[in-house]
Amino acid sequence: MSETPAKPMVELTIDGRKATVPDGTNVLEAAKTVGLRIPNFCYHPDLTWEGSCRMCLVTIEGRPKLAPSCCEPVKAGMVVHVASKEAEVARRAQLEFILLNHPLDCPICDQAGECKLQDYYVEHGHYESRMPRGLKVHKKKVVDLGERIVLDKERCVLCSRCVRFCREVSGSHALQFFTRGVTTEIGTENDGPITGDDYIGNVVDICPVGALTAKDFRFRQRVWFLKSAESVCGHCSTGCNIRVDSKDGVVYRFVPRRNPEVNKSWVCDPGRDSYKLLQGPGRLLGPRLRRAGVLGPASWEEALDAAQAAIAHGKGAGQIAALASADASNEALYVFRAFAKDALGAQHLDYRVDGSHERTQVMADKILRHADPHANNTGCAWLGLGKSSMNAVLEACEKDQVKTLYVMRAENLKHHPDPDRVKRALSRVEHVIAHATHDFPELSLASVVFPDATYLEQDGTFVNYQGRVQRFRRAYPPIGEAWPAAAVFLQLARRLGGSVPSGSAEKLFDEMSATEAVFGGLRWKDLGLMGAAPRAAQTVAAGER
Amino acid sequence: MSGRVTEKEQETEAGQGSSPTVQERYRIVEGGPAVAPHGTHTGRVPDEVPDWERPSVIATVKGLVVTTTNFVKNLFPSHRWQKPTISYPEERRAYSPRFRGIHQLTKRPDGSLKCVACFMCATICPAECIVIEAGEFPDKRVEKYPVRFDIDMLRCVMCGLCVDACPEEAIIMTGDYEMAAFSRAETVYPISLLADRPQLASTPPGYRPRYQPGPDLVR
Repeated sequence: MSETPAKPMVELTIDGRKATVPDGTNVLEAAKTVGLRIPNFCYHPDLTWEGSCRMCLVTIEGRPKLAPSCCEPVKAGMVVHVASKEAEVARRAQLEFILLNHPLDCPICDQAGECKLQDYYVEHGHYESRMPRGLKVHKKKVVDLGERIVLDKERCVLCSRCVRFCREVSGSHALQFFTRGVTTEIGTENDGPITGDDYIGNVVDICPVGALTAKDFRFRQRVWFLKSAESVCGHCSTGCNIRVDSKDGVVYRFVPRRNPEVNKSWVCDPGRDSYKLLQGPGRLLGPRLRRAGVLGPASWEEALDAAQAAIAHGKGAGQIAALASADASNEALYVFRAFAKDALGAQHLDYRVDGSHERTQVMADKILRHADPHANNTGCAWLGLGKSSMNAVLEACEKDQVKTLYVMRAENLKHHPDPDRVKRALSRVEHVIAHATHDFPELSLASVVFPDATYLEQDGTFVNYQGRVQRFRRAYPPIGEAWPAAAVFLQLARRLGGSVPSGSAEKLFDEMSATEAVFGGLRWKDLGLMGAAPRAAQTVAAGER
Repeated sequence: MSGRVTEKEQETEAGQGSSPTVQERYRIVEGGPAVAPHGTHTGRVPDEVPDWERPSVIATVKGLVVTTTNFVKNLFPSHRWQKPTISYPEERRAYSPRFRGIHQLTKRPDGSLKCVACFMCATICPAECIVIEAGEFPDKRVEKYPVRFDIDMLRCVMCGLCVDACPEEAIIMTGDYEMAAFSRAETVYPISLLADRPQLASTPPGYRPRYQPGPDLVR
């Protein structure tokens, strides 16, 4: 989008303020640039203009009638009045129309607190309904639309955002309008379940009211209790921008954040559900240590001591291999690289554990998803962590040339194309030191296991498939006794007498960016909410492959 | 003897030639703090003050007068001299009908809870003592109901804001104030205690500002 040649700029006046926006912008967006928010339901920046809700009516000088600002492209010299008397009266009347048959069941509606209708209703002070209670048109409530969506037809304001989404973005045409007049309602054919649409979760986010609610989130928490952290989805190499909504260390939902360069306003359903994989059950809450052949719980001190001894043993023999992880942040990888070189003195270092790096650029569907299930294969490549190969590491293990294997994220080993070979190879290694977030059967092959913090529990950056560096923010502190991996590397490096970079994610990033040409001198503060791409990133990423 | 009258005081006494007043005799002398932290006079009393004039003696006698008066009053209770105590628990005080005692969850005529788990009470609660978990109610007109509704009585400050916030009059307060328990766990009241505790039958009503008498409310 940013690469397209700049459109000619148009100047117009909105409520006495001069706005200069690219040609083709609508008045509603132009008003945003001068700090005016025009009420609207049906307009969405990533869908076509519809103009069905009539909430955004404004006066345009020289026009006999009010115009919907969302469907009005700007023209040079246009004079718009948002706060004119007639526009305000029209918007107020329109809101009353929309509220006529609305059930006003905000207390039990999941959307309450982030509902446009609720906001405008309070803003306009429509507290008394002129509609007698018995005359309200009632429609079906709690319509089950398959695995993800519950529809309440009564709450719908008929903005058609979901209908347009299914038509224009997901292409499933699942939701449609039915019947006419006051009984108009949205729905699926015969109110049947929606299947085969992996993006249908987005209709819940774009629904301006509580007509479409997510089964997953339904009744679980009121939105005002949730704390939000701007993050990046770690479920594939697309790096969709998301907001993590959590309370007391429990994530309740992932919500897409708009980033026109990456995911627009969408996120896929598997990505949306991936918060479940990052929490319990099975989450490792404390270190584990092999004692007399059995892996059991241990204190951090004991685990670090054992890891130190195991590394010293492997180091003495000159037989250490280290496996980085494409799920880790650039900062953690940067520390790991120095750790593997200085503290471990590793003979083998690689990140391509499961071969997913080949699929980083391969689309898994036609909309957003990529076939690479890791968020940061590009970052690993940028940092030059592929010094050996997974095959070489396994061969060395099979030939008993590896005494100590340090694995940054043990889960990745599960996804190796030949898991039996991995198991056999690992059983020949004397000491496997592994970081892991979750417990799984193969973990019993390790001698020391460190509980790892997930990306929701720390600050850092990922590089997505486009070569865009995007920041994720800590949503809540690591649960249990989990530590961010970089902190463990630092502890071990201090014990083993190597030097590794340390400090906050910001300091590490700035240090890394200054020393690694591939980051093009990006600074942490340049990343902002939407991330940034170093100028030469695209070419470097292509060159690495 | 460390507590001597200062020279200046001796001079004034000698110069005036008259006998010092009681206040003057009680003047602070060296060797003790002028005023104790709680503001009473703690300086040493000069030796020439007779024993019966010492503050301790006077105060003791005054106190005895109060005690004896009340003792005698209560020996002969009359309408004018009502004693201030009651014989709780045999005798109970009548409290205001707006008394904010232990909460009650009210029910619909069919016996289900009126609560729709909207979390308004939990949101307004300044003590954060209300824990709610919502579930899907089979009746689609109701939709939502509390699977769990706990009030931690040890945290509750009995402010009544939950009652004000409730859109359904599902939570009201009663005149019941007896919540002593043998363990902390017992002081967390679940739905069973809030809606169905046996004491409810005999408790007077409490704070329920929007209560409309009628068949609607089953107590």
